[in-house]
Amino acid sequence: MDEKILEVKNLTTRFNTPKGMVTAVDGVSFDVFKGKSLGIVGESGSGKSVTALSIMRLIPTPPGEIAAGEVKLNGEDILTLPDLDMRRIRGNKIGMIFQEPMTSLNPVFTVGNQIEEVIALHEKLSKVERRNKAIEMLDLVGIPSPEKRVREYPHQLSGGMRQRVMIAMALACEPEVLIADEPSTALDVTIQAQILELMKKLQDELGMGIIMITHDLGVVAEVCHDVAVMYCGKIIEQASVVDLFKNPRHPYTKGLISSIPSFDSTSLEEKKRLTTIEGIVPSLLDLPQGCYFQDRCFNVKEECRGGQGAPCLRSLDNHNHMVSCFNPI
Amino acid sequence: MNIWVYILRRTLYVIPILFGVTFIVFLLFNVLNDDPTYQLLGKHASEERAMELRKELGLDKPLYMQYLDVVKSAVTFDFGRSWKSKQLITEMIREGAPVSLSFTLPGFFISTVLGILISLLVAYYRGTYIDKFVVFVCICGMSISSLAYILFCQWYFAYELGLFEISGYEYGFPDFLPYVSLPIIIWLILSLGPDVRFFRTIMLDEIYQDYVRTARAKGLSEPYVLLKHVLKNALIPIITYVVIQIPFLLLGALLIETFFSIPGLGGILVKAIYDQDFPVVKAMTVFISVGYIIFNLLSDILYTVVDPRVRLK
Ligand SMILES: Nc1ncnc2c1ncn2[C@@H]1O[C@H](COP(=O)(O)OP(=O)(O)OP(=O)(O)O)[C@@H](O)[C@H]1O
Ligand SMILES: [Mg+2]
Repeated sequence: MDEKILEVKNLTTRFNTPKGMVTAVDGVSFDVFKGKSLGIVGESGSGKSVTALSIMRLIPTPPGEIAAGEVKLNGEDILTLPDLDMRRIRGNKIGMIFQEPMTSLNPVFTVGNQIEEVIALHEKLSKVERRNKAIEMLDLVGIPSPEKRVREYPHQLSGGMRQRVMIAMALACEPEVLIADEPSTALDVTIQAQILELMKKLQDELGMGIIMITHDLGVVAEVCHDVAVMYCGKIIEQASVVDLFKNPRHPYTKGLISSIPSFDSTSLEEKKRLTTIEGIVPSLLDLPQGCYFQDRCFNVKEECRGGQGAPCLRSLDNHNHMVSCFNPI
Repeated sequence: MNIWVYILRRTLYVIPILFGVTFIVFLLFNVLNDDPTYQLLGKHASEERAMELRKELGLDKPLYMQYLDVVKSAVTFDFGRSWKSKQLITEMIREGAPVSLSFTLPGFFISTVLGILISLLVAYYRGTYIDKFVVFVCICGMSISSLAYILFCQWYFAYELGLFEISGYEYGFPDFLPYVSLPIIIWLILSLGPDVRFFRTIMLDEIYQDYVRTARAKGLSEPYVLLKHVLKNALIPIITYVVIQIPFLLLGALLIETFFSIPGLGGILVKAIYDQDFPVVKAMTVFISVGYIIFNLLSDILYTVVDPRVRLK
């Protein structure tokens, strides 16, 4: 049995915007296991980043607020911890990397300084030991001549290199969970593949659990073991990667999967049949009664329109495959 | 690029700027200005006396020589004598500048440091009532005329309460302290508003940057994030703003010096304008321009020390 390190239960995060209260994350639950990767996929605005920032308790308050839920790290609810204890967890037990490698590093401090800073905060090491560890981390993430790079500033590195530095920083204190918020989205394709490959390799070596946030199912297929699909702040389907790809049960998931070009379908005709999901994501300020996906769903029935409220996430025949739909396919 | 090469190159840029600035001064004072000879001697002075005076003032020289004189004065700081007091202008500056600095420098220093501290505090409490209150006070403070502050402070603190001298000056430390205290306080009131508002905008610009989120995700505390990550980035624009003000400190504050009868450069300049003492006005113009150029250069160089990205450009 896999060892559960992080357990998110009914996480709900709201923002008080000038136009009204927005529930960006709505009752989200999932588990992260040691040495395993959980993918969170969804379109832009589905609440992936807010979920990640809520776990880190980095939601700007105001306007944001974690309204309900639990985030248990090794059984302890970190949402109720005092600030000081929470700071001991950030960067130490849970590391995070962000989508924007170009701007996520501080431009006026050297790469080494920024890696050493997190080590100094969480570990009792001397100055020299910290520098050595920073060099070691840069080496680990595949940066050539790390002794030299450690003294360089972020602007002297390429985007891919900077993302490697971010990874080195996030992993410097050997966290149990790594949250990666679209770590490869801003990079070009070959670099993307390298970064994902690196993260897989590091997971094998260090054994942390990863939450891989992405809008790209291809990334999920490549690196994840389990996957949760988010839509308008809710998880609408959750399964192992194999199950989800083989047998998607939610019409939205099916739509997402069939919009990935497959390598087998090389003929032009096949490619043309690549479906996209019609319609646009409803605004969080103006969500429909019932299922949030109803207006875009090819399988919509009367009960989806609100009579029975919103559908709940429930497991179907296979215990680990959960879907939130009145008419699963 | 090596930092010394950068400094050298940046210093060489000063030369054309100096020529340009002195040319404008030359145009204003030597070309567009009427011949001051008769103004000085009286309408009915003899032709001989007039010729003599022109020679003394260097006005008989061809124009390009006069221009070179202006350039020379900008480099040597030898501005000749005042028409009015016949005193060497260099000496007047040497006497007046420390007097001006004796209240502008403390005022400027305290205002800058206090302004940065307040803006950091406001950044920490961004969006709360503390933040809104500070901005409100700044705007109120800036809306009131400086004259009102001067008159009120003179009347209340100096006259009613008798805490400070109403006006005048005494040379030498610590004798000047009772005379400069009130001007320093007024300087603070006048400059804290704009300073805090400007610094606050910069801090808030930085605080929403991605690298701040990264710093928080490491587990750093908010004060530490502000004092290390935000402050060092904010210092880049702040340095330009602050260093550029320094040459103007020499000139003092025209209004404050006049109202407090402080014999600083500002007072001297105002008096020279009343007296149509052109060489003094011209000297001050050149002096402040050169100061501006030098401190501009200094702020550019400081820039490269704080911002590692500048060096490569
Ligand atoms: N600071 C904020 N203030 C107000 N609303 C916010 C804020 N941050 C996020 N939201 C709301 O939360 C919703 C979800 O945002 P989130 O950043 O989690 O989306 P995402 O799934 O990460 O999208 P993307 O793929 O574009 O990164 C947004 O649509 C927005 O309405
Ligand atoms: Mg996002």
